[in-house]
Amino acid sequence: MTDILHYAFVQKALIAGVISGVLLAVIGVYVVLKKMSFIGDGIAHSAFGGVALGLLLGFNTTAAAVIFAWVIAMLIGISKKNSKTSEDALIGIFFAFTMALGVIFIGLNKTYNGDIFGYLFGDILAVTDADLYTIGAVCVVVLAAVYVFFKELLFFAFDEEGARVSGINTEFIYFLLLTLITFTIVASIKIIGIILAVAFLIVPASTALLLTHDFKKLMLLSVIISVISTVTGFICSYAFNVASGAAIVVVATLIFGGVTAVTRMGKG
Amino acid sequence: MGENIISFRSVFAGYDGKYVVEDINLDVAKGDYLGIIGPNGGGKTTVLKLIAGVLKPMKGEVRVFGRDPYRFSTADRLRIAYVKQETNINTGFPVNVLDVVLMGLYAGIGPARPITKKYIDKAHEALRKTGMDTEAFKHIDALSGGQKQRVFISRGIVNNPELLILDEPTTGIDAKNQSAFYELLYDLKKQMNLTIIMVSHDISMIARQVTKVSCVNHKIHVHGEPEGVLTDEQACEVCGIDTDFIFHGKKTGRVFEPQNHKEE
Repeated sequence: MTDILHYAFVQKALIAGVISGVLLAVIGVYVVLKKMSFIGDGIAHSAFGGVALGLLLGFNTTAAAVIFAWVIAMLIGISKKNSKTSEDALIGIFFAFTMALGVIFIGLNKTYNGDIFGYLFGDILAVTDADLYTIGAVCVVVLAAVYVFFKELLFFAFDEEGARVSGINTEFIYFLLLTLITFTIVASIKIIGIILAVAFLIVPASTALLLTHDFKKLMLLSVIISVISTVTGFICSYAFNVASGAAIVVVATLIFGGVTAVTRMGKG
Repeated sequence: MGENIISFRSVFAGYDGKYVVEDINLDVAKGDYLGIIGPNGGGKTTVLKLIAGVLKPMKGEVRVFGRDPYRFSTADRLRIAYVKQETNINTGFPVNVLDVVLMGLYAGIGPARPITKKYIDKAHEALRKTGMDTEAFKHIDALSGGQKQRVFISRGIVNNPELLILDEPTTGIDAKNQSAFYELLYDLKKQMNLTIIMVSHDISMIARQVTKVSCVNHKIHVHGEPEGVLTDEQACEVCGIDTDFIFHGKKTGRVFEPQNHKEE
């Protein structure tokens, strides 16, 4: 098995997987604590419309997905603040609309669309140099933003109204978080896939939350669980020739199930 | 009487295009201890949210420290502490008591700046003032409702604010701890020279401790000293206050006596 590590494409895949795992784990902590998993799902699915548009027009699919998903994320955020429709319903509406657009774009595309399965469920071995640089750059930007606004993001996630009253610009932090979620999901599409991205945002952080009541330890544990799931999932994906995203999510979910069982037994 | 620090002029406000409060006019002077009473859904919390700058008026003008609180700078926001009724905020969130109090300092510290010992000392000092420093490293969910409320007050006063706003702070706290809580508020008011505005259903406390009372049921029906407001039978009826109890209490001294905490 270790022989495969000599291949450049395997090294690239593993590095990209680990970076993506770190990113998803860190942003996932905020998604779980702020209970934003549905909006994360909405953003991930709207990236599908962007990928399909990129394929149709011959654009860079990552750039198209980032722009498309970011615009939708901002529209969800603005609509939430200004509409009488509930946030849940708004996300559902945008989610369905962008998936529908994606299907139409694919239908209009006369060329072969074999790549779509990889975008939907992840194809870690297809990671290119360009993908690796993109994931690396997104990782630097997202982690820098989390470092700079660490306190503000924590307060916002804990008590949004309290944060606003105490002088935190919560609107800025909300839109910043939507932007970070968008960047993280789109950068991870090649690894985990559009359909499963939100699962990987939620599962490591939810597992870590079973193990600690300390925010910094939570983030660290979430990253460790995410990286273990990514590497193990990658090995399974290679060994059994299955989609990388699915393998990674199955491993992460099994870890979640195991930790849940052990912590319950501990309490019992 | 101190200078006016809050003024409402013909204020209409609410949610989803519907007014909850209409034509509110209100002045609060520095050093006042204002109790806001009235029925549920009558707009008491809406008035507090307008003062705290969480809600924008649909019509009229709200001024706090001479400025629009909805557009407050960070420096202005640090002059106000707002303690909500709800203490079960985000249950299961991985923070301890000290972390929660430190949050009150975040806006003043600013992005990317570390939390130094100076700030940690300030948070401990705020916890000492509310008698909660011994619980500093406990998880927030491990505390009772009354203890949590003290922690949220610590978070509010950590910046040495001038104005403390409380929304039904004793909901869910037993009677014994309620009176200890009001003692604490009174001590904090004296120590820190605070102006306090509190929504409460506890009419006997309102009568004993506050210097002004506003009766809110979509409008301010009466505003003034507790003796005047709480004996205004018509206003009390509009605001859903048990007048029998009050008038009976007044006659027997149960409500207005003892006035040990009444300011001169």
